[in-house]
Order: sequence, then structure tokens, then C-alpha cells
Amino acid sequence: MREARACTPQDYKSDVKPVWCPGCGDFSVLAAVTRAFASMGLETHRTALISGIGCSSRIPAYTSTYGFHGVHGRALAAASGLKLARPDLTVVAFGGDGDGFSIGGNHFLHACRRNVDLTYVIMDNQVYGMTKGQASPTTEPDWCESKLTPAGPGVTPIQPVPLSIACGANFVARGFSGDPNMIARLIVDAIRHPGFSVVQVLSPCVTFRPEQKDWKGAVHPYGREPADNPMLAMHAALEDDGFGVGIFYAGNRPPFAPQAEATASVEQLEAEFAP
Amino acid sequence: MTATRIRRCAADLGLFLAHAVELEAEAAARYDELADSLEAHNNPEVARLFRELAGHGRSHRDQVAGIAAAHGPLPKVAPWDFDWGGAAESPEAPTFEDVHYLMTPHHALALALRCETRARDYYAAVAEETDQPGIARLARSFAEEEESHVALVRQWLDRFPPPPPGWDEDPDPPNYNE
Repeated sequence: MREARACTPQDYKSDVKPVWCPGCGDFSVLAAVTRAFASMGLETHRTALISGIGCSSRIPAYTSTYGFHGVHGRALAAASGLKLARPDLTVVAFGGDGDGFSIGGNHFLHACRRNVDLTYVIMDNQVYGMTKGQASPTTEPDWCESKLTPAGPGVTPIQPVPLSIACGANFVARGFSGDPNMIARLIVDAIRHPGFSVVQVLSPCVTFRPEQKDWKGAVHPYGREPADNPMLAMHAALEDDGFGVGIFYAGNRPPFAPQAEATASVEQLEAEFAP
Repeated sequence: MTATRIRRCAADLGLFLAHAVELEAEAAARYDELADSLEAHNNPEVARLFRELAGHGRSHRDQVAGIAAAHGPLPKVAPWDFDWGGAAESPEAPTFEDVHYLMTPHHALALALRCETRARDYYAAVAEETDQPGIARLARSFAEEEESHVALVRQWLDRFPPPPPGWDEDPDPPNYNE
């Protein structure tokens, strides 16, 4: 990771205009990311945003860093490969609850236990928004608004924070899109913490889950110091009501960073792709 | 007068100017973002209005930045360390959640009025709290500038009365999933 000259959040925005629905929580996450990068002074050519598929996964297009809008559920596979091949880069992966916990659920489990030094921001709106509003892995069992699940999905939703701790993520936090400055701080802390960091952001979908506007009144500070003991963190995370915001866990596990000899230089690789 | 207490930036001129520059820059950038968003969602009338408000915001941002430049280098403040009297974001920035793709000019101006009023109250609170004459003078002048924006937005609002109920009903809704 390199932190250099002072930048403004605008320096990290591209000319591509977001197509998210007006009022979407993902706008706040974009604002938070650019503020986080600006406060760290990250160099755009040494920073990469990797995403999967879904509304939230469009975020690399809206930033001026390197980015890869990849395959559904495979953001963490691409991000892990990139970080292992180029440990000098700051790598941040993005996605939604469906991309991360359903299509990419297996990759998520192993990214946590592998503990590569990268950050994963999950914009959780508890719905598949891009495909017009179906229940996702984090949807409540009694949400009946989708015609695919007229009686509700009826199954226990995944709890991203306890799941991340259980699978071995080294830093686990939760933020809320109504407070982009807090998200910015969590992202900075996540990037600076060695190993695999997970930041769940409660990001309302105003189109398919308009009732999530009430989240503003439900979120509250987590209220405890970050634990470095996973058992304590897990216990506290399970006691939380899902709306506590803050850092739940900051562990000490060394990141997975195998020392391998490079088989080619970056210049040689670039030459292969040169016209 | 707001009951908000603004303690940190009322104690140091550089810190106050850093807050003022951030407040104005964030408002201008946010109005541009909302204009982009409403353009993308085919609401050109409100998009134009947000773009005009962004223009006013940029003009005031440059004015404040000019004053700040004369003061010398400002302290670097992390986004989460700005003291907005307990609010999550700077007082003049419209929140993302307060917009709707079918919103009318009335809604946009009502939103702008809330933001300009908050900015005025913020500067007025600093002027009242500080014991430093230089900060008080600047904060009062910024509050007066914001008050002129409040008056201007009120004039515009007179031209755009509230729409009738049902303004947000869409005959071709995005969440129609039959």
C-alpha cells in the first residue's frame, strides 16, 4: 500500500455517471470510498477495485483507479489473485449480498480463511435489485414482496458479521450508508489492517425494499471496543441485532502471502498485451 | 437559532476555514451528483435545477476557498473528524436518500431550502459560540450569505407549489415483476 500526496475525493471519481436509482444507499458507499482513498492519498495507478455482478458491483466504473467488473460471485477470486501477484497494490473488492453470499458464497468462505491482505466491502440491501427484487441470502424469512417467494423465503438469513468471524476474516466491521464518513473511516481501517478485511454496509434499496428507509432509526453504535479474540467477537456479534455499526473484530492472524519467484516482470507481461 | 453546539472549529480560525471549505465543496459536489442522477433517470427539469444549485454552490465554494487561501495552509482534517454538530455529513449537503426519480422541482427546492437553512444555522452557531473576533466576523458573513440563499430558494419555491398527491405513482414502475 502506498500513501502519498493529498488528494480530493473528486480525484477518485471517473467521468462515468452512476445509474443507481436516485436515493440508493450505494451512492453513499461511492462517496465513502473516494473520501477514504483521498484521506489515505492512494495513488490511482496503484489501487484496484474488483467487483462481481449486481447494482453495487458497478462501482469500479465510477472510480478513476484500476478496476475489474468481473464475473458473478468471483470478485474475491480475481481480487485474491491480483493481490498475490501484485502485493504492492491496494486491492479492494466490492459486491452485494447476493453476489457475495450466494453466487460467490464458496469464494467468500475461502477468502476469509485464506486471509489475503485485501478488503471486501459488501453493500447489503437484502435483495437482488438488478434482477428486479428477489430474496437474497440476507433477506428476512418473512419478506413476501417477491412473487418468487410469496410466503417469504422462509429460511434463516446469513449474518455477514458472525459468518466472517467464523470463517477467519482478520477484520470485520459494519457501517450504514446514512453515514458515509463513518464508512470511509471503516474502509481506511480495513485497508490498513493486515489480512482479509470485511466491511458490511447496510445500503438500502429504495426501489425494491422501500421500507429499508427505516434503517436510519434502527442503526446504533455497536458500543464495544473491537475484540482481537474471535470467540469474544463472535459472542458479541451474535448478541447484536444486526444494526450495530462499528468494528467487531480486529485479529492478529498473519496474512497469506506466499513468497514465490516472479516468472516474468510486469514489463514483460505488458509487452505481451501491447498492440 | 439552532441548539447545535459547534465546539472544535469555533476555537481555531484554520479549523473553521477548513470546515467552511469542506461544507461548500461537498454541497456543490453533491448537487452535481444529484443532477447527474436525475439526468440518468430522465428527469431533466429537476436535473437542471440541481445543476443550477451546484453552480451557486461552486461559486460560494470558490469564494470561501479564496478567503481560506489568504489565511495560509489549512489543517488537514479526515472526513470523519469534521465536527458538524452531531450530523453525519456537512449541513449544506443534501442527503442521497432524500431524492426520488419522480421528484418535482418543488421537492428539489424544499430539499435545497433545508440544506441552506442548516448551513446558515451552522455558521450562526459558530459565530455565537466562538470567543475569537476573527472567526465570529467570518462566520457571521457566511451566515448572511447563506441567509441570502435561503431567501432566494424561498422565492423559487413560490413558483413551484407542492404537486398533488400521487406525484410518485409510475404507470410503468421499475418494480413491476409479473
